[in-house]
Amino acid sequence: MRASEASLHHADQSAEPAEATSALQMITEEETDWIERSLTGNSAAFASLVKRYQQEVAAQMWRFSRDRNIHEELVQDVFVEVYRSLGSFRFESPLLHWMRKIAVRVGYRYWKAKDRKKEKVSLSQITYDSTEATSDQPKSAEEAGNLLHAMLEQLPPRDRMILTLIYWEEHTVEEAAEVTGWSQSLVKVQAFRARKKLKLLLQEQGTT
Amino acid sequence: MNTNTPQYQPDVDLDQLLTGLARRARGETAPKVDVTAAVLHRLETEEEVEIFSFSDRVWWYSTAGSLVAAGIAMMIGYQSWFELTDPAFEMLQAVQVALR
Repeated sequence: MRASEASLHHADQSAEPAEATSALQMITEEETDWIERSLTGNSAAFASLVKRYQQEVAAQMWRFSRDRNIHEELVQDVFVEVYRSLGSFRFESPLLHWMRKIAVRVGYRYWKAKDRKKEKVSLSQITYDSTEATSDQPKSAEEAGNLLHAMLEQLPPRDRMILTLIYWEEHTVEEAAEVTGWSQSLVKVQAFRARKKLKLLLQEQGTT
Repeated sequence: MNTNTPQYQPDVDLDQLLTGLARRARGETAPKVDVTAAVLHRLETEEEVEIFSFSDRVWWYSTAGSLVAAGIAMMIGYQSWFELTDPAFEMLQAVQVALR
């Protein structure tokens, strides 16, 4: 993924060519071979593909669930979906890039299902200090991850997804639009609303 | 100070807060997973289920279809088409009259 600034303002700008080159490492011959053999039903080839990318996918899915069992299940879901969609892969973009899109869809589906069941953790169960988060004081990556996850979990799936894509995954508006299938203006509006909603939620919970 | 109470400062820029947290969170390590065997097992199982449900569906449809076809054949054997449809036509006419 691109290492640009996570804010929407920065994300709004187009990607730098150098970054794009490093991120868009093209599909290797080995991967092409794995895909082609997987399409013919060769499970060993697909197993190689899973082994190659499972940690990258696991890192992404950790943003969707902090429950280890659910997390592992989500990683599995992504690869099952990848297998089913392999025939539609056009070899025009890096395989991981394509897999990440599928992972976002799988994660979003999980959030929607979870939202229907209303399983949410209250932010009051987590200790946090917003001034600390923005200061230069070191906060462990795990703590920051847990806090960000808990904050975004307060939001409905659509809002949560857009903020996750823009801040956590550092997507530009263009990329977020591509992943979600929304227009760029809808992405901007959704992100604006989501931030507003989150700010209100934090203020409400901060004063209780 | 109660450390269990969230301490969101309204004056803190949310964009800055999210950017800062996300930057740090990106350094976290996700749990290691090895889903290879589980994924292959799921794919195999789902394939079997699909084959089973397809054959299952075919069996039910063919049975139901045969029964319906047999029923129609029996009715046609005993009554003419006019005899079959006439009571229904009469009933419709009665409804029409009642509505008027």
